[in-house]
Amino acid sequence: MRNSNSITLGPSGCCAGECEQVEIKVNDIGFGVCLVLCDPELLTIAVAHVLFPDSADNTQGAIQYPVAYADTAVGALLAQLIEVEEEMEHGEVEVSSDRIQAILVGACDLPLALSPDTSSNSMNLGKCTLDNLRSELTKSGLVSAKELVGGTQRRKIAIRDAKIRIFTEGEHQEERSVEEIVLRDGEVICKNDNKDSS
Amino acid sequence: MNDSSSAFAERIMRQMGVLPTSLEVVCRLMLMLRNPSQENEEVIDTLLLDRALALQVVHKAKQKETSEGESDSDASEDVSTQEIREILSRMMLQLGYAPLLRLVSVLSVQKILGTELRSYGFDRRELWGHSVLVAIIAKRFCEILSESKRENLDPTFAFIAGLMHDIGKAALNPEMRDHIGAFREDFSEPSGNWCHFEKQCCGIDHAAMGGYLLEQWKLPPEIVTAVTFHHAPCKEQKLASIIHLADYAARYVKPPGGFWNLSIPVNADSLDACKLRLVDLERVVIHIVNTREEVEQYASA
Repeated sequence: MRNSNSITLGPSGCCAGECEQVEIKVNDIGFGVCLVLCDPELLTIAVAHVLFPDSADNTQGAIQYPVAYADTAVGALLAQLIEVEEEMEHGEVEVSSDRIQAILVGACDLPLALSPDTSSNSMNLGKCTLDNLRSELTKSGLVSAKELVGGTQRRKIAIRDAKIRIFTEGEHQEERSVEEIVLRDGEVICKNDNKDSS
Repeated sequence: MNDSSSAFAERIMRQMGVLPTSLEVVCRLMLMLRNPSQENEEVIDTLLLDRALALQVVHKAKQKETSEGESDSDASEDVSTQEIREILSRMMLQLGYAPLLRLVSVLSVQKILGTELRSYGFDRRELWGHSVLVAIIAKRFCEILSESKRENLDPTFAFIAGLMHDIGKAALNPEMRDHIGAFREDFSEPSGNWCHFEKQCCGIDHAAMGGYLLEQWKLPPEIVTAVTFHHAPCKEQKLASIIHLADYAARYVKPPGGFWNLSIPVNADSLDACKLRLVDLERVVIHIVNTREEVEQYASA
């Protein structure tokens, strides 16, 4: 890895690049959802920290920050990834969204509201965001390779050398490597390294 | 509050000591804020009741003027009282009164909230960072409500209530230390939350403890109520509802750290209670995560 481009993504941020040229970190993933799109053949990757389920009431915000909303994030991030692939040397391999797979991380559970009723569910924005992302992925014909969602602990992601490592905090904030995902030989390989996946 | 929790709160209050002078200044300034014919000189006199605090404010002003951004409170120690008066007077003209009060509040409260709170798992300044976020979001909520003519709540009061909403955690922290191990299992339950846990340990939760402290320190009743009920506001408690929602929204900007701090029950009825909409919450969060200047300004005060 040349380590030429190290990026730390904040909420509503996104980036895309070739796996061997970028190092991406996403810290403090809580109620939001980190969407990772990857192409195991061309070894490209795109990451977004999605915050909210639906941009219908804030179309201006979605124009400015398209990956902040689940309904616009998938399309925007996919376009970025395809753009990276078109600009890179891809030899005889065709640029295509068919190979692209998704990983979803985050969407911590909101505990029961003090007065649980149907309207309280509307506040569970993490879950709504996750549901909408799944639906948008399906609409775009993308397969979800791995989901690490729910629970009540913060997570973070570190991507380097075609390896995606997802950390979940323990009950005393200690880091525990829960999952390692490797892009290799045209496949997305998930290695569960133990402990508890939510 | 029942008799035993009241006795407990009184004991904690005694341990915390008398009202810090800087908070007394904040209280007096808040009352002055409500007086439309308030003289600037009186505000400056009040600030000078705590010379160290006034020097910090002056230092911030000088930092801003030189844009050096270095935090070195000693640098202002040689400033004469007359110079302090002149600088404060200039600040009031440039900033306006409410922003000055917000800055004074921040400088005052950060001493209490900026420490490590081991029982809650907060590293140094983690609770402080969260409190600043809640303050800024609560202020912005009030501005949105006012701009859209939905509700008229004082943004500066909301800011101060947000800043102090978890002050009860600083008070309960030493008491909780011995109990933390016993309640770990509770947090695996969906309904597990700090208020429940604190009541079991101390007979009082951090919200009620914070409200009690602020009441004893003679902060305005709106702020006392907002802090006391920020986890369970009822329909009539509009400022408490604002803080309740700001506390939730702040977790989108940055999860606060500490143990189990994403385990926060949220009551959707709070939106109606203060006439906010979910889209307001989303807009404020997205604005703050993409423009960090205000957060940095206060968090690094």
